[in-house]
This record gives sequence, structure tokens and C-alpha cells, in this order.
Amino acid sequence: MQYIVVPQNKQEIKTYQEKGVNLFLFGLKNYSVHYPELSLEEIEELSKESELFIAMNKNIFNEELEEVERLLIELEKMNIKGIFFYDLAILSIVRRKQLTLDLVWNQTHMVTNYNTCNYYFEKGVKYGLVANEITLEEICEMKKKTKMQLMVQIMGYPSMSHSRRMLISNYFKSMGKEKQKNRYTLQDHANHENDYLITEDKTGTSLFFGKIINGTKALPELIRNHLDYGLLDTSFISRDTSLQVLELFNEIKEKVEIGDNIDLDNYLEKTASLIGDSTNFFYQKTIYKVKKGK
Amino acid sequence: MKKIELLSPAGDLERLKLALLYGADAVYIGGQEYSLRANATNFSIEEIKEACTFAHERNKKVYLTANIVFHNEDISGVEDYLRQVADAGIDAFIVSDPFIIQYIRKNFPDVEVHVSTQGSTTNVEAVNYWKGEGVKRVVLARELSLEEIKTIIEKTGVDIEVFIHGAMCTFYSGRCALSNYFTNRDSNRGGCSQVCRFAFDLENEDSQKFTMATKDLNLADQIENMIKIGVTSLKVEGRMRSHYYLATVISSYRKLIDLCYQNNLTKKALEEEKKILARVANRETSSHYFTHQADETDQYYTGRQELSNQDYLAYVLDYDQEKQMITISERNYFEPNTEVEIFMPSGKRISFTIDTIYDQELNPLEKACHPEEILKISVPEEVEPNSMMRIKVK
Repeated sequence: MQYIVVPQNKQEIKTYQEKGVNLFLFGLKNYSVHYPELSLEEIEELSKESELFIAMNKNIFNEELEEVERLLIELEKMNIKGIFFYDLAILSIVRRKQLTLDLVWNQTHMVTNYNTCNYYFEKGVKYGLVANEITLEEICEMKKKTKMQLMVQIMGYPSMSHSRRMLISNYFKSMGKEKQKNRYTLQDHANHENDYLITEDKTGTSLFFGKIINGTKALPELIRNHLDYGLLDTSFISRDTSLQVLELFNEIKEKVEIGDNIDLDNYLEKTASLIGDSTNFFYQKTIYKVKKGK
Repeated sequence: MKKIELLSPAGDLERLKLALLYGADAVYIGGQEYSLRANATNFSIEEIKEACTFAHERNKKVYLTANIVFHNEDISGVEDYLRQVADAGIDAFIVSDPFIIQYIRKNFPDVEVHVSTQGSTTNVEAVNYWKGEGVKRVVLARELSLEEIKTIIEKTGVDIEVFIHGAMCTFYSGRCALSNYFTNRDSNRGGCSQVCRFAFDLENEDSQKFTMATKDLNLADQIENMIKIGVTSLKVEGRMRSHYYLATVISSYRKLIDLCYQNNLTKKALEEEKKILARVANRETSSHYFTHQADETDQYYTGRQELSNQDYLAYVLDYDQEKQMITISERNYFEPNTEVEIFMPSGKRISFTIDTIYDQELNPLEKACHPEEILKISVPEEVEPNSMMRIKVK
């Protein structure tokens, strides 16, 4: 398994490289959601010395298609490891123009079964970032039954939803006010147990669950099952914390790969003190039908 | 030119029949597996067969949703299920997962494939992608304007289905897992628990609760535009909605569509139907992205504002021509001297003031106040079976 890090800005790359990370993910300015963005020029410069995945994972509209095609053609000329896509327009353009760009299926909550992985693999999509809402068991089964190279988020705030609506701006406008910033914390009015993050940009509004995914417990299993990439998204997390988690993940990976015993409880304790102990849906299956098996 | 299709939801066989009788050209239903309304009654294979027979006898169509986002565990058995459903006689599958599309195209080439709005298809290129996969129709995302839809139709030649009425998602369809995180129900497998209608507290803002809830969609005054740009199908949302809601909404849209084709849609007629639609809605409505970039006017900010009324008075069971009386099953309270309207499956409507309410033995009653009670009243004209009686909308 290799780690892919989403840094908060391009200046952080060097720090993570010093910790052995070689793969980074950024969004392309104006065409991505959830990830820190770089301009095409910055990507070109950075790609000369780093291996980059670039997210173009926004929902795309007609008026953007020409520019998207131009950008993909430009990106093809660079040394880009892969393009994360949500909208099928990206896949369609890459196929139609026969671009030699590797693609990452990044339909956030929909990368949930091996058959659809196989479908996209046959269409030329090399990688998939699996949904955060499926279990470790499901992920491992997917890996066994597809040739697609799979990525799993092992650290970071999980995305819950994305809207074209400007929900923060609209809220303040409704009160005759203006929003003061682009990121706020939300709490369920009826139950203040959990925090949620809400962010707004040109593409609309995104919601994130307020507990950071801690993949420590799942990591050995993911490595043993040959999952290809672990994604560490450092968005909204301090660099020091992210680096400490990365170091611990590096130790786990090294030990698992050489077959050493690991004191997982010890690692769990250490990482939990840094990012909490949320295992998200790794061990929690969502209910399909409320009535079924009640 | 082919007439635009009016597509109705149907949560069960009874509602399916009503929707078709009240003027829908086609209905979309969920089977007992793989449908995004996992907790609706949904249709067994036998019921699907009956639905298809009922629809086809009237030259109408039945589309079946199998539009969940599949997990590994859902794969086993899906092929058998799709075969049973195809054999039952459905006219199209509404799906979102591409491996299912590929399977259907290969194994049931005579059954149309419609890509669900769950795919959030928003542009020409993506529609052309689906066209290349053998898809006959795409249900577009609800985030698009008239111009954007027009361009897609012009540049793809794919049949386009557009939502015209009903509840809206706050987030892109398919790009929302709020239910997973809040209620452990799988949004993309039919477990949506409408978390976007919950109330929240935003940090440092205690003056007003933060909500994301949207008003409903109502594009009644855009039908002419839809016809002009070549939309194939107008879709009404709501497989969980009541019989009365469906009959009312479908009846109004049937009337508006027919008036458009007769070049006879007057402002007065439009306003009348909009009033009827407003009365049956439990939320305010907007045209959302179809006419403008959705903004603060399209949302609710002071918590749930969902109103219901008691307009629906009775379901008509029978008409006695000799006595000029109808037998009805009561739904909501009413008294003599109430001004009412009966609307019928054919689109005919009659208005009158109730004289006397009788029980089944023709004893006069002071009021009708027991839901499901069988009653009789005199009517001025012949009334069709399956008609409904409501408070006269003014």
C-alpha cells in the first residue's frame, strides 16, 4: 500500500516527502470539491518534482465543457498520476479525445461494489476511491473481485454531501446578513452530540462529518488484503497532527509488510489521542431496508 | 410530433391505477428489491404483471426503478430479479448503476433503459456517454435551467425526462450520505431519512436555526416551454404520496398539458390549476434552478413549515343515476351547505353546494365526521367512478 496525502497547500509537500510520502492529491482550481486547489500553472510546476493526483470532481455544466476539455488536454501533457472524476463528462472526454490520462473513479458515495468497479475498469478507469460508507469487509471483497486499483480514505473528515446551493450565504441573506467566512461548525439542533463541518465555495456547499476517520485498526487488514492506496486527507487538521498520524501509519505499514507483530492497541491509543477513535463505517453496516429483518 | 409524456409515481397498485385513470401517460414504480424507496409498499412480481396489463390495455406504460447504488451483497440475485421484472412486461428500467445498465442492454434489448436522476446528469457530454451505452432516456438532475436542458436536447438527441413537480433534494442526488451518518440508513439504497429537513445550530449564530430544507418544485407555468424545447417526459415526484395528492396533481398537469396542445392555455386556466396544486401541497413551491440560480427564497429558515389541510372530503364509490346520488367514503369533516367540487378521472369537474348528507339508510346527518364512513349525497350531474370530492378551491 502507498499513502496519498492531501496537503493543505503546496508548501507542505516537502514536509510530507521527508516522511516518505510520494503521492499527493490536489484539486484543480474551479473544478474540484473537497480538496485544496491549485491552478494549472501550479500543477505544471509541481508535477515536475512530485507525483500528483488531480481532482476534477465537481458536477459539470454545459458552459464548462469546452474549458474542461482544454484543461484535460493540458493536463495530459504533464506528468499526472491520475485525474479524480465525479462527472461522467470527464470520462467521456478522455475517451472521445483518446487522452492518455489515467482516471480515478471518485463518485463519492457510489464506489460501493466490485461489479461497477469492473465496469469502469473496462472503460479504461484505472483507479477508484471507495466510498467512506462501506465496511472493511466490503472493501476487501471489492479488492479481491476487481482489477481496478483501489484507494481507501484512512484519515480525514468524511464528506457527507455536496449541494449546488450556497447554503451558508443563503442562510445569512435570509437574516439580512453576510457570511463572515466559508467554513462553520454545525450541530444538530435536537442533539448536540456531534459536530459537523459546513463549507462553501464557488461549486456550492459541502458537509463533512465532524469526527475524523481513524483508519489505524483497519490498516493492517487493508494492507494484508493488498489495497493499493491509503488516502490521508489533512484538510481542517493541523499539520503537526497529520504528520504524527502519518508517522504512526508508516510504522504500522512497515511492520505489517514485513510480517512483524504489531501492538495495535498501542497504535490505536496513540492515534486516538491525536484524531479521535472514529472508525466511521469500517465496522458498521448501514441499514438498507428498515423493515427488513426487524 | 410526439406528445409530451406525463409520468406519475405510484407507491402501490391502487395508486398506479388512479394515476393512470387521472391522466398519467406512464407510471414509475418500485419493486420489492433494489428501489430507492425501500420503505414504500412497493410491488411484488405479480403486482407488476397486473400493473403492466392495466397500463398496456390503456396504451400506457410502466417503468420500474432499480436505482439503488449497489453494494457487493446486492449483486447476488439481481439478474434473476431483473429477468422476472422484464418478463412481467415493464416498458423500461430506471437505473443508476452502470453495471446494471450494461446487463440490461445485453440481456433485455427490448426493454428501455432510463438513467435515474440519482446519476445527477447535468451536461451534454455525460448524456452522450449514456447514449453510447445504449440508454434511451436520461432523467436529468434537478439543478438545471431551461437553457441547459434545451442545449442537452439539441446536442444529444436522447430522450430527456425532467422533474416538474414535488419535493426537491437539497444536495445533488447521489451525492448525499447524510442519512448514513445521522441515522445509519443508507441514502443511496432507499434509506433517505430527510436529514436535510432537520434543524441545526450554526456556530455563534443563535438568532435563527440553520436549516437546509428546500421548498418543493412546481413548474406548472413552464409546460409550454418544456414542450417547445422537446422534453420527452414530465415527471412528478412522490412514490410515497397519497391517492388524493396523486389524483389532484396528475389531473391538473393533464389539463395543463392538453390545453397547451390545444393552444388554449389561458392565464386564467393556469392560475386556477396553480391554486389547486398549491392547496394539495404541504410546502411552498418554487421553480428552483429551472428559472434562476437557486437562492435563499427557495429554502426554509425557520424550521419545518409543512402545512396540511382537510380539503379532501370524500372518495366516490358509486353513482346512482336514478336518484342522482353518489355513495362516498368520507375522508374529512364536512357539513351541509359546504361548497364542494368533484373532480373526475376524465378531467371533468362539477361544483355545487351540499344540500343534505345521508347515511347508508338515507337518514339525514348533521355532519360527516367519521373517516371511511359510507355516506350519500345528491349531485347535480353524473359522476364517474373513482372521482374525488374536495372543498371548492377559490
